[in-house]
Amino acid sequence: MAIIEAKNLVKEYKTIIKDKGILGYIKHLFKPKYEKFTAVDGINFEINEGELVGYIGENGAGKSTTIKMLTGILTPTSGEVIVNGLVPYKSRIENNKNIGAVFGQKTQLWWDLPVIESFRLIKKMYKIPEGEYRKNLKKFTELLDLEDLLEKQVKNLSLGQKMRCEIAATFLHNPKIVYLDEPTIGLDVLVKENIRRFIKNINKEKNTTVILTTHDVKDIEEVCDRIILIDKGKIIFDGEKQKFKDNYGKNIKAELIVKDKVGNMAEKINSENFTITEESNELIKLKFSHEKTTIMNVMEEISKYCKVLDIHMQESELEDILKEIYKKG
Amino acid sequence: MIGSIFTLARMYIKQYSIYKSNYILFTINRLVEGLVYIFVWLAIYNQTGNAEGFTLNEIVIYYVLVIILIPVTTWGINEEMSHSIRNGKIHKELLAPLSYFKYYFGLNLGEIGFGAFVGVSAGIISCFIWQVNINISLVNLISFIVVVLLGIPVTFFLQMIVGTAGFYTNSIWGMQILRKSIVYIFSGLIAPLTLFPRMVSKTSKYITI
Repeated sequence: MAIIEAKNLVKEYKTIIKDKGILGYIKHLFKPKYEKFTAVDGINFEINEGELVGYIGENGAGKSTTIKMLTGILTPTSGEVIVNGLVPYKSRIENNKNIGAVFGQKTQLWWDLPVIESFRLIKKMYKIPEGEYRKNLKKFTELLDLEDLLEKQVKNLSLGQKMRCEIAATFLHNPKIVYLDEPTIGLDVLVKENIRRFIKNINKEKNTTVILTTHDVKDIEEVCDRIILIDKGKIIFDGEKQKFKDNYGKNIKAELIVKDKVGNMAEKINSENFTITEESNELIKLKFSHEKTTIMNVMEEISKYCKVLDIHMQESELEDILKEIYKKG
Repeated sequence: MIGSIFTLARMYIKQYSIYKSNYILFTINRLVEGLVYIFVWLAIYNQTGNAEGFTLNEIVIYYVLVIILIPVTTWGINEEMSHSIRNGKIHKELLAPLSYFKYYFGLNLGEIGFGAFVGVSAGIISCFIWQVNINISLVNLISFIVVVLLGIPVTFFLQMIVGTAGFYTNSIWGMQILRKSIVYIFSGLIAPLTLFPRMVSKTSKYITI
């Protein structure tokens, strides 16, 4: 059953248009001009309980705006959004009891106080029963390695330490839905891994629905089962991760170990079906679309000019696919 | 709900109290401010031989009370509120399971709680400096506290008006000065209300600041 539903969701902003120079700014004081900017343009999706969804797109695609509408911070210009049976912007406080959210580097922890104080406040505000609070705190302390951090002032923590505490604070009241807006931004590999493991663990154990927006493809690869790709405010893909790769990952990379190579292959072979990206006397790297040709055809062409000793093939990775999509705009 | 508000207030007090220098500097600030007021009235008294009907002792007692009350009546969360709107920290407040209004009421109580501590400390030190002996009956003390408590929501609403102006402007400094000026005048912090023009002192009766 869908826990989140978005129907024809639209968010428009009014942006200021100013003429150039100081006169332009002064003119704006008396006669302001505005233009409409559509950040989210009629999106539709349903997310089921317990799903791990990667909500991805370029900068400015409308990801954060969507998340803000789902949390009730922003009111949609039009369309409908229902989260756990509630309209978030109408029942924001009721909705807040069931959700958790991390917004990049904007911390919910109290800067000058020890981390544990923020956790106690969360316990009180969300009315977490003492036993459950202790159980969660113990578990999160182990999973996120927080033992030495709880009594430290937030301002004295490193970015990674802060984010681990932030994630713990977000999950402390056992929310049904968690929105993570770039939770791994600027973190080192180990912390990222730790956070990903934690999210998967909690999702498995408590069936928490997680919506993750990120620019780190590894987050999506490792955490999410489903991808929603948004571009210029519109959803251009919504489906399983593998389906996304099947749909968009048509390019295959191949590495050929060769010998007796004669001259420069890229100059000799002018095929539309594959492209040589790198070559040396022993190695040729190329890519081709499996829609246009097969590896057998490529081999046939290459072996006219050298002996092929070994082949290593690799499907497109998510990162390559996204790069292609973003480049095409 | 009430529990969350008081927890927020406690957090705010803890945040202020974590640095000893906060307490010391704020207390010194109050003492100096009180000193300035009292010196001005001493000068008037020495030149004219009276202080508009008040004895010197009454004037000193009045300003010792002003020292105690200034933090309670003029401190507030409007600046923090407007900053949080500007820097996006408002997310945190809007994602809390209680209303924005109650969230800030909690913080405001914390600010006033710490302010009261500073004010009382500065007041006690002032009593020693000026050799003031405040004889007050229990009924008067309770009435005084009740009036101060009644003033808290009024000053909070003023803070909300100024703080939420942060949605429309990137500097609430001017509005904050205006708010403080209104509070200073109508609460009698600058001078006893009886000394103001008749209209101002009459108006102040209807404004419970």
